[in-house]
This record gives sequence, C-alpha cells and structure tokens, in this order.
Amino acid sequence: MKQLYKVANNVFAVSVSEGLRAWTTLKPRFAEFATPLSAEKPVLEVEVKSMELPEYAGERIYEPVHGGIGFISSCASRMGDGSLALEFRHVADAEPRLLMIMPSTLDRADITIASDGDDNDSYFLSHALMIAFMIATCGNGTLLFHSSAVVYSGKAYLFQGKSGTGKSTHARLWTEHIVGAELLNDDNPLISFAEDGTAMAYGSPWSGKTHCYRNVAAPVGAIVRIVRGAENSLRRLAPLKAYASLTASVFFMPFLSEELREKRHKTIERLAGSVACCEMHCRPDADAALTCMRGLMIYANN
Amino acid sequence: MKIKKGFTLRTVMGQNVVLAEGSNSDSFGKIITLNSSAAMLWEELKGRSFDVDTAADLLVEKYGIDREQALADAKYIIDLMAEKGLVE
Repeated sequence: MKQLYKVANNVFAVSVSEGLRAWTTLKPRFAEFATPLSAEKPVLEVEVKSMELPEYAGERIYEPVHGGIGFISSCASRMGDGSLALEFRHVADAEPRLLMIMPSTLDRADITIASDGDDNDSYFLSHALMIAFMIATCGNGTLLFHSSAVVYSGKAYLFQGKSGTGKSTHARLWTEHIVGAELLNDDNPLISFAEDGTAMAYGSPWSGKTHCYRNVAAPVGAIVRIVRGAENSLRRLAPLKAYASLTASVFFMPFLSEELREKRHKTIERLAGSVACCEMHCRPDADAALTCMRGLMIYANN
Repeated sequence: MKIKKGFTLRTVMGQNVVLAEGSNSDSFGKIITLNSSAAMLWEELKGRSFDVDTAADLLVEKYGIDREQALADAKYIIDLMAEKGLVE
C-alpha cells in the first residue's frame, strides 16, 4: 500500500510489499510524518520489496574511503541508461544486503532487500530511505544536516561535530539543565528556507540511536560546532569558517552532478550568511549547556 | 604536476576559496583562500599537467607582467598549493 509522508515540506511516497519485517520496525518512526493523498506531486516515489538482489551492470563511480557510516558501507554504480545503483552492506560482509536503483531523474527509488531476513535490515532500509530522500531533495534547497538539535524558546539550535565529540551529549545537557529545551532530532534534522527567507530546522524519521522522530519545525536560532575542550567557551565563526563548518555536516554524495553540487553550495552559503554559526569548546557538563545558551542569547540580541 | 581531484574552487561569501568536497566524513572542511591570480591559475590549470613555466606563461599572458616576475610569482603560488596539499 502506498503511503505519503511529508518531511521538511517534501512529500514522498513509500510502497512496501506486505509483511516486510524491516518496515514493520521503521513504520512507527514515519507515522508522525504521514500526510494525506493530495494533488501535490511527490518529490520521490519509493518502492520496497524483499527478494534475491537482482544482477545489474554498471560502472563503479563511488567506493567509501573510510569503510562507511557506522557499520553500513555503501558503493554506487552508474548504469547504461544513467540510473544510479547503490549497494549497502555491513562493513564486515562481502555481500550487499540492500540494493537501491534511482533513475537519472532522481525522483524514484526501487529498493530491494536481500530475502533471508536479518535483524539489521531495518538499519539498511532506514539509511537507504534517508539517502534517497537526500538525493531527491538536495537540489531544491533542502539540507540533510548531520547534527543533534534542540528546540528552546521557539528556536532550533543545532550541534554539529565530528562523530564522538559529544553532539548528542551536549544536546542532552540542554534538555536536562535548561528549562524548556527539548530534543528535536538526535542525528539527522533537515534545514531549508521558508518563503519569507527564514532558515527553518525540521525533525525527521532519521535520528540515530535516539528514538526521537518528531514532525516539528522551528526557525534556526544558531548552529554550533562542538569541540571537546578543558574550558567551556563559545565563539562566533567568521563567514568563511562558518561556510566550511556547515559544509562538513551537510550530507552529499560525491558522484552527484555539478548542478546539484552548485545548488547545495548556494544553499549553504545562504545559510552561513543568515544564521549565527559558532564553535563551542566544552566539557560534558551542565555548565557547558548554560554557557552555550547564554552566549547564543547574546548573539541573538545583537 | 596536476591539481588534485576532490578540490573545487568556488566563490564563497565573496572570496575565492578551494574546498575539499564530496565527503560525508564530517571532517571540518579544509578551506583555502586564493587571491585573484592564484584563482585564475587554478581555473586555467585544472585537469591538465603543468609546471612553473606553464603557470608563468599564463601570468604573462593574462597580466602582461615581465617573465622574470611571472616565474617568481608562479613558483610562489605553486609552492603554496603544494604546501596545502592541493597538487600532486
């Protein structure tokens, strides 16, 4: 059955073959994003089924450099008709668990999950859906922004950083020590510009290890790079540094077209020019959250 | 030598910068600001083999400076690119 979802104002359709176990796990995460059938054309149509992975012929255009994201490793090929074939496998396995084919128009994804059910299949499916969504929307000004995000006083604050630096910890410290601060998303919120030019952050069905799949939007208050430090201190990044810092956290695939790359660049440049981008050196303690919040309130008032 | 793949020259916030692009590794993006002559050389030299002489020829041609000056400038710019790991 086909169901429509709306994430960061992008409508996409998902059709899953009956009884697919991986989707049973994921479906509740998408529930809050369900949207009724409408005249609006989806930016992406996804079809998911489980069977033996089909054979295909294509030129390999992407191999992961550092083994992949978490335990998922992906590679991409371009087929004769211009379609993309993305394989996702466990880093320890030789055989892919999931194959996703997207036509050159990038508005459709046919996902096949290898048939002998695996407990990790929901991770593969979730990741593939996220990548398909990113690929289908990166040209329309939507940024998949790897970060942990909170909403406080009506604004979203996004904490970015290399994995293991404590994005999630810092976000959690806000929710524990700042009255009114709530988690928006713990891994992959989205950012896009509203018609009036406001940069908005959105929750998504992709939130890493934390089950936080909220269909909530808030204007971006600030974006903060988290760096481990001995002292808690916040500083604002100069425009070029801000751009470079933001770019590092926006999901993209190196094989996508120069046109999409250019659009992504324009969106990031616009973001760097319209929101406060900061760097927070911090310890994992309550004072870090308070120091960060107070510093950001000063920027917001200037 | 050649300009390494994976780096792109862009105008960002009004400046010519070279960025390492295309990775999802969330490494803090390396960013290198170029002045206008270095940016011109980058555009002209990307995708082909070159040496200090090629670069100096371009500087002479585009800016009408004398050859000796062009060679010194070209060497300076290329050394800087090498130091930043932009050429191989």
